[in-house]
Amino acid sequence: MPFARPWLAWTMALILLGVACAIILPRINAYFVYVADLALIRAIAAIGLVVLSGVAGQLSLCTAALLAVGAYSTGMLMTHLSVGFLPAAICGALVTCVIGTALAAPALRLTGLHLPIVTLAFGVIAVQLIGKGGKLTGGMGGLFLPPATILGWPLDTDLRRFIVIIGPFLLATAASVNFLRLKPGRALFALRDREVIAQALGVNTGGYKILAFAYSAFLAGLAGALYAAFKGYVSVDDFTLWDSIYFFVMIAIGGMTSVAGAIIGAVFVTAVPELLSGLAEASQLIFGALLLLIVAFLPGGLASIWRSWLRPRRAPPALDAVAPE
Amino acid sequence: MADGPAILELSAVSKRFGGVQALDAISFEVAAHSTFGIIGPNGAGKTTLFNCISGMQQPDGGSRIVYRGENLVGRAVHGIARLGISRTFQNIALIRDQTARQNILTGMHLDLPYSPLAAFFPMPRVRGQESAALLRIEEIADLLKLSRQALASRVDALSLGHQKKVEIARAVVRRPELLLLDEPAGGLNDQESEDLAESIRRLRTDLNLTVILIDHDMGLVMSLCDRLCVLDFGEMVAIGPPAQIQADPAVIAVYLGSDDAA
Repeated sequence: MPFARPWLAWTMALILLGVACAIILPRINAYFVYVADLALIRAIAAIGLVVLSGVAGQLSLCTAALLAVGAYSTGMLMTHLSVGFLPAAICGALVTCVIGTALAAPALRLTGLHLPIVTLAFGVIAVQLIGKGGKLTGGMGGLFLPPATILGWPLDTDLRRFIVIIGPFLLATAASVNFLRLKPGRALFALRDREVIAQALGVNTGGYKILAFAYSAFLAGLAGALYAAFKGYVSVDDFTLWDSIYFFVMIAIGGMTSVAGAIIGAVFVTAVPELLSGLAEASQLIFGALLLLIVAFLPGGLASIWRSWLRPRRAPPALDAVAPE
Repeated sequence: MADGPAILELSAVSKRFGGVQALDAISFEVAAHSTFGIIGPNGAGKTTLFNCISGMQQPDGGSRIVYRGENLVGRAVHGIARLGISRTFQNIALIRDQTARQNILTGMHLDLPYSPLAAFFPMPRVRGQESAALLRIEEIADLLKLSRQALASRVDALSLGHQKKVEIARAVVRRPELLLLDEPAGGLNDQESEDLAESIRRLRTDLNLTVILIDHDMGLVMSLCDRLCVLDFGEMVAIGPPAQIQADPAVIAVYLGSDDAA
């Protein structure tokens, strides 16, 4: 149940973040901030995927491609039209939102596994087209961005970029928590559960699907724009199908239906491989084993730990003692 | 009560699935604020009729279903719900891993007029509507004798009787005018069934509802309904007040399987 005691899940997320800080911060400060930047950027897109796939049940395999649209729109505006980072990033997020909304069109008609296949195809084609974009997109070689500044303040260190990333991250988190907790979230949960029942309750399921696509694409585009400024360079190699699947891994191990789950998942998938990187080949094995353990023992994801361990177990209600079969 | 103006009029409602005539030119009227029963053996077409009224299935050409002067045929399911028609389902259709309260809140969808975009950063107006919805749920729960404890429980932890009540609560919480109940007493024991009949009576008067009820529990149907119709193999065999239906030889034939059915 996604709504009760969310603060416990938040405490979890903060503790995880704190532990990660405690381990890494004393050793390599700049490196830690770099990993945190990356984790928060991914978390923004993962939150969008929770809304679209986890809650609304619209399985999408093109998160990374939407990030690419956001990153390239921002990058191209900055490189070719000398637009400042802030307006370019807003445009990038909006362009991605429009393209993502168009993806809702097949979702209104398709059922079952057809939607993930359409989104997969969209992702592969979009990234291919970007790679063939010649001078406009920098082609397969990628696009180098002019240094990003905000009102003359250069984003030239990981810490400064962190400061710029944390704002949109917190806004996206708060907006999504509210969205899922109130009427739209309930409508999306209902439509995932059984679409026709949601309709019988008065939910315009088509409209809500479009909204879920639009919002999750906006967040992916925003994450892409931040990613472009974070790296100073965008390349199609960062937005492969494999990267899209990674976003799925984040929400699957974090928790498919909660914002906290998306954040925990993004931090986990970003930080753990970095922590293990000293172990060379063994790192991938350990990471894979950890994923397996989480999926096997925590089907609700890391965010569900609070539910099973921290929350006092309630006795079954006495009023159901005489339940008929 | 049964003689008020008609709120719902069906004329020649038919539905064919391949070689099966699920509904064959069904026509009747339901008076406002009355309770109308639909009975008949399994497969008689009762649920198909509900599906046609609520828009989940489209009746065949020529069928007319008029609610307060508006033809429902061809409308979207959520559009029909918006007109003030609500329904429950034969098999419990609650979201199992949510609490009863969350399920009932989902039923408040149409009574929360704020734009979904306003939910991102809810202003006091949105918060006000949401907290009014929570209060409304407590009222409905009291009306249906659902305890606070039951409201806070996951629905899959509740007894069938309570689950049925939660589903009815979800259907009526937004104050519909017409409520379609599909086998509300199915699977309930006698005591639960009586309790349910009492709840339906209370809802009917307190919310000024018109109710259409499908059930196999004859005691329930006969005691609640002002008028009822009997379906058999998609055809309407009889229609009238309960006493008349009970005495109708054609109805007795349907239930006892006599050869000289009318």
